[in-house]
Amino acid sequence: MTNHEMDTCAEVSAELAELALGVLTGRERSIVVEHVENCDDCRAELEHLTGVADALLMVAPQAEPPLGFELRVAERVRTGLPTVTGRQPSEATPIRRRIGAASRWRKASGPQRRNTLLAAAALVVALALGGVGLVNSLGSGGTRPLQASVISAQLTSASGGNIGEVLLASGSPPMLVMEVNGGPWGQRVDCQVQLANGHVMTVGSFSLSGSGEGTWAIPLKVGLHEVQSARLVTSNGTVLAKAAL
Amino acid sequence: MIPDASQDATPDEALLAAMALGDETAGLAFVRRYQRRVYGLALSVLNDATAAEDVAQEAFLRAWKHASVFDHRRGAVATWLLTITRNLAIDAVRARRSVPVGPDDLVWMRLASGERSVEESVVVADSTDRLHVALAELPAEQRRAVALAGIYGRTAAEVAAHEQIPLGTAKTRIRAGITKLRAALAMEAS
Repeated sequence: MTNHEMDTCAEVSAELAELALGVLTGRERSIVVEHVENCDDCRAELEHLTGVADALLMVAPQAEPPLGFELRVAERVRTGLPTVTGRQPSEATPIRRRIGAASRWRKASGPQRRNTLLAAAALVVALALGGVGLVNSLGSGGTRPLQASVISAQLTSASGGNIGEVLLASGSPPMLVMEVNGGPWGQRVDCQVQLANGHVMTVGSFSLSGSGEGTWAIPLKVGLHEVQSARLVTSNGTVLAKAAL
Repeated sequence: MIPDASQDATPDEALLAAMALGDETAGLAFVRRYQRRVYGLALSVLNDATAAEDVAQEAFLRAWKHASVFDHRRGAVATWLLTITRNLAIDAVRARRSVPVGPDDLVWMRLASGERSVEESVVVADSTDRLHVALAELPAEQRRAVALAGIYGRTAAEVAAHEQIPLGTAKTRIRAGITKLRAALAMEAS
């Protein structure tokens, strides 16, 4: 370290606390930031001081917000969501993003659960079609027409374990619903279908939650009878699980 | 589906991941877990309940919106959320061109004394606990300078004006206070 550098470090160190606290402005800030980018010692010192600055926020006083605060936040999140109209058909739609009461159907099982999944899928389609699909699917005929052409299968991992379920439902467009439980945590995965002619299509991609879960409704561009199997694939092409349909 | 996670041990990162997928239950649990800290910080800076709720709501909205890009390697979720809150609150103060903070406020007294509720005593991490003690041991003028800058986002010039002291003195107090806090935390950790 040269004498000049030492002088600069001494000058800059006087300002590091203010930089760490986020209150250094203007030319002073530019000079300090530029120096820190090129000086390991000052950068290390800044990291320590930033740790103190972060901890300081944790000792700020706490206060109970007005009643119903969290519900007002949730309402703002809900109303602030982008509209479904105009989505690309191949884009996987996380059902829970659209269906607020996901907790109810995730606890259901058997036919009841399947019906709700299909209703959820139908609702997603309806939203995508601007509401017309909702009337057609869930109107006087209820969900019966959809139930009549449902194909479902377990999603089986490479080790033979059941990690979810895949359902195909007729409609316009036909829908593939994939529910994953116990997949790789937080990983980005692709959903592929293999067609009768041997072709493999990636029909959607999405991220699993931190606990390895997710449920998606994916509109298909092919007829149900053409789909032979569905599979879950990692970004590097490894097949995580398959479902024969 | 994540049950009421505000009171359980579900990691913050797992809640954020679920929020990124649109899981409202996880989002509500996240809000319940941090609403006292977020609203309390906003209220401290703004000293106005209505403005504080606006800022607190906006902070959670941003956290919800950006949950998918949160990078845990860059720090804790709580710090990230509180930094968002602090910055929004400071922007709101500057937009109003008001300086609602005074050294006689209850906020100052609580920071100065290091006192906290039983509930807080249970939830605060060790490092936070140590920081309370270290803050209480700082000379009062350094504690005010550190809090004015670190929590209320005041620049050294604003601290100088608030405390009616020369700019150089304000800078020295901020630096000395932070340096002592750092030393106290490092000493306890070693």
